[in-house]
Amino acid sequence: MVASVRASRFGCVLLRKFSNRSLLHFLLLLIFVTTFVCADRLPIQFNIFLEKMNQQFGPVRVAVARNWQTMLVQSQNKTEQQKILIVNDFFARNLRYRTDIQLWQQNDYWATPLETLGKGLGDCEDYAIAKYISLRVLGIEDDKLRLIYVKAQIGGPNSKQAQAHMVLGYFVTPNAQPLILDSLITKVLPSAKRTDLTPVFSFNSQGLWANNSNQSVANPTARLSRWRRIIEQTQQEGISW
Amino acid sequence: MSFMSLFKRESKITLRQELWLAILVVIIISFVSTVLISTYSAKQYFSSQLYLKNIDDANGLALMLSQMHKDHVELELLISATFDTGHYQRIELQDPEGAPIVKRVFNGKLDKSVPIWFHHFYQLHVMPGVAQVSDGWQQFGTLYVESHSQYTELALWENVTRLFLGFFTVAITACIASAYFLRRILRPLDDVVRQANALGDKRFIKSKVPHTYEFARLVSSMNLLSTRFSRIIKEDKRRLEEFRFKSQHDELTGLANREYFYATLEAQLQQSKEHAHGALFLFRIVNLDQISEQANRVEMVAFLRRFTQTLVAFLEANEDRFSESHIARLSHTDFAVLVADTDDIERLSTKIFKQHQALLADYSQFNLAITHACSYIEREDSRFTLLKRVDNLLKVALTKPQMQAQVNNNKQRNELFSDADSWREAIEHALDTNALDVLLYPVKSFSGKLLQNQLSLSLLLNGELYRSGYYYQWAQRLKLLARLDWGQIKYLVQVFEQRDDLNLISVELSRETLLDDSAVAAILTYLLAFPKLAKHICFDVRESIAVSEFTLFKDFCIQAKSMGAKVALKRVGSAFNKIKEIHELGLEMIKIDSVYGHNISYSQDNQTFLRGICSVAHSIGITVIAEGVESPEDQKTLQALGFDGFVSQPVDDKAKGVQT
Repeated sequence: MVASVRASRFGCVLLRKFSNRSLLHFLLLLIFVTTFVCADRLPIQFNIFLEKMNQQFGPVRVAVARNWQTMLVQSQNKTEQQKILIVNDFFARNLRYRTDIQLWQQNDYWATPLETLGKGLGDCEDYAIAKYISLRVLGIEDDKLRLIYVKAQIGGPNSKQAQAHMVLGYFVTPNAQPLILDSLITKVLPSAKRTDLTPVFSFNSQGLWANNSNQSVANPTARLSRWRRIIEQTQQEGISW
Repeated sequence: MSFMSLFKRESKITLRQELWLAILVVIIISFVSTVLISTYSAKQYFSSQLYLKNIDDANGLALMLSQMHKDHVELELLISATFDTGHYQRIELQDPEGAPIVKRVFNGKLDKSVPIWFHHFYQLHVMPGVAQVSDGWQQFGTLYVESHSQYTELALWENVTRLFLGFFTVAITACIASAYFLRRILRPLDDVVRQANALGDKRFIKSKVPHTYEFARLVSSMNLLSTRFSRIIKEDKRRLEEFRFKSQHDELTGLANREYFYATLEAQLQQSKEHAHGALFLFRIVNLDQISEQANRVEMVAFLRRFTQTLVAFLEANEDRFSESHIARLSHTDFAVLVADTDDIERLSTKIFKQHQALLADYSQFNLAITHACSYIEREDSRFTLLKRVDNLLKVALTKPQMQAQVNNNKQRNELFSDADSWREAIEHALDTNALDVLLYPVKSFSGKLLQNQLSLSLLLNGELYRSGYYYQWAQRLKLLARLDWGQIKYLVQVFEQRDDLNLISVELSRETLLDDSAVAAILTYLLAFPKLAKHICFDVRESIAVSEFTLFKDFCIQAKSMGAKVALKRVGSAFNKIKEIHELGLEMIKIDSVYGHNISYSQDNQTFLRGICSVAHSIGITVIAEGVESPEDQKTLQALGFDGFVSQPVDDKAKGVQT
């Protein structure tokens, strides 16, 4: 807190000094200052994230990334329920569904939030991962979140057509019924309302971290696991929690 | 090379030891680091494999548990079955609040084959595999799976043991290989060191040039030094010899001249002052000039040469009747022969008389005559009294017209023992009963510094101590010199520790001792056993022996020097140029025969000769000492010639009690 106050005061001094310079300079400075301030709160190095976004997906997508940043910054002090809804809404608005085959020319590809936001496209697990990481960044504890493999019944209640699907579950308390954040529908519903989904297996990032640190215990061999690869790569893209 | 000797040597470390240290350090470092690194990487590998197994097993089991009916008994059965049939340290299922639902922990004891310290250092810390178990939409619990790390520790331990043994074998092999290569590489070094030591010992030897570049350079340089020295010495000696011969010999006959003979006679008289055994012959050729008058000068020279040959042949034929002989041409017609240790000059006189008669028979056309006179040397004879006596005899002989011989049968009768057997008995008795003492002749530099004490053995004969001069001739005749040498060495070993005055001593070794392998070996053994004595002793060997038994003498020098003893030459002079490799012997000192030093102030030629000897000797680090020079004037001259010192008369109190 003290550090952030000091930082913003430092920013003001800089602002006064450079006020008659061009608008671009001012904007860059603003980005720099906000980045600096936010970095103090959120465990994301936005400068790295934005730079990588710019490199990989071009300046157009940087705007989306900045929107994500704004969303995270603004919802920091909200309640957990509100965070769930805001995050779900953000991805529902900014992503469109696209299968891995079409998007990545692979049967099953797990994308990091950077890739998902960069493409603006994703399939069910890309949604779930992006949402999971966003919520973790916003400070929701790991044992309240589960990535859940579900069997989805598609095409109406009597349809026999099923599909492998992944959703994110939010447990208000460990024993409670979870709220389901799904890519198929934009609403966040309690699991009891989701009769079309049958849970199979759930997981989160518990056990991936050494005790009380954000240092991964995994070694290069463990990165062969898809889930761990995502987490490692996300860290390299400036997001850690 | 044993490791014990590696560290026994104090202070100075040899190159070989340093190389060994370096090799050992390299081997040990590589050995330790290999073991550590490979153990560490094995540990890392095992850890990561175990961790992956934990994760995979946890997820597999959690997936299975999520699917089944959550009956407690069923859960427990499944987890127990997994635990009992697998290799797990812990399988625990906790409910969302963290309370255990089912827990299995391995309580088996540690495998004894892994040492505790190893377990302590190499304990694996593997994170448990964690997976979520759900019951429908609800969380059911969290599953923790930890594999047992004991068997991996065992594997790690076996790995370390194998590695240790393997590398130990490699290290031993490396040591053997390096021992071989070191020996090959450093073999020339031994030669180099030996040569360097030899140079330090004033032995200017040459050695084989090795293949290694650096050693080759070094050895070539040292060889060059040795070669230069030997050339200089050779040239100097040749010049000296030419000069000596010219100054001391008659040009016509090649015999010693009058000056040289007188010096020899003087020295002989001085040596046998106490006890004379010698005799002097004087020969005169009467009417020699008739040959050149009636025939020609060439004929006369031929006669003189024949006469000389007859005389030399006579002395050679009768070698067994005396120990030494000196022959000289004193003047145009006069010849002299000095024999030492003879008993029967009448017989000798008769023999030579007959030979001269035979010689003169060939020259009957001339009115020639050869007259001679002879006399024993008497006690306290000086050169003048002796020469005068013999000259008077010769004059008597000349008064008679024909060839004459005049014999003065003044044989000494006042000896201690009358015959050889009594002498032998007495000397042997003295040696056996250790009735000995040593007399010290201090060898001093001209500045008065004591260089060494020259020892001479006194024997207790008939209840009184007699100096060596008294019994020496008899001992030599009876071939007892080797026993005397040995007796002296044994006596020295006994008293060396007790007597303070026996520092830096010199002891003469006779020809008999040097010729006797076992006697030399016995002396060297004593030196080895008494290194302190070895450090203080210097062996004197006569120049004539060194020349005639050069190989033996050289071996003796090298062996004695290797034990710390020193070697000197005494009675040096006439044969100095014949000592072939004097620069390779490492001599400590040469003692110049009193023949040269005596009356040196009056002999310009001898001065030049001695100056030459001094410069040769000094160039290879040998001290030059004069024997038997007592007059202060002579000593001054010798100092000016470059001598380092002289042998003076014994001064200690003991000498007063000794019978002379």
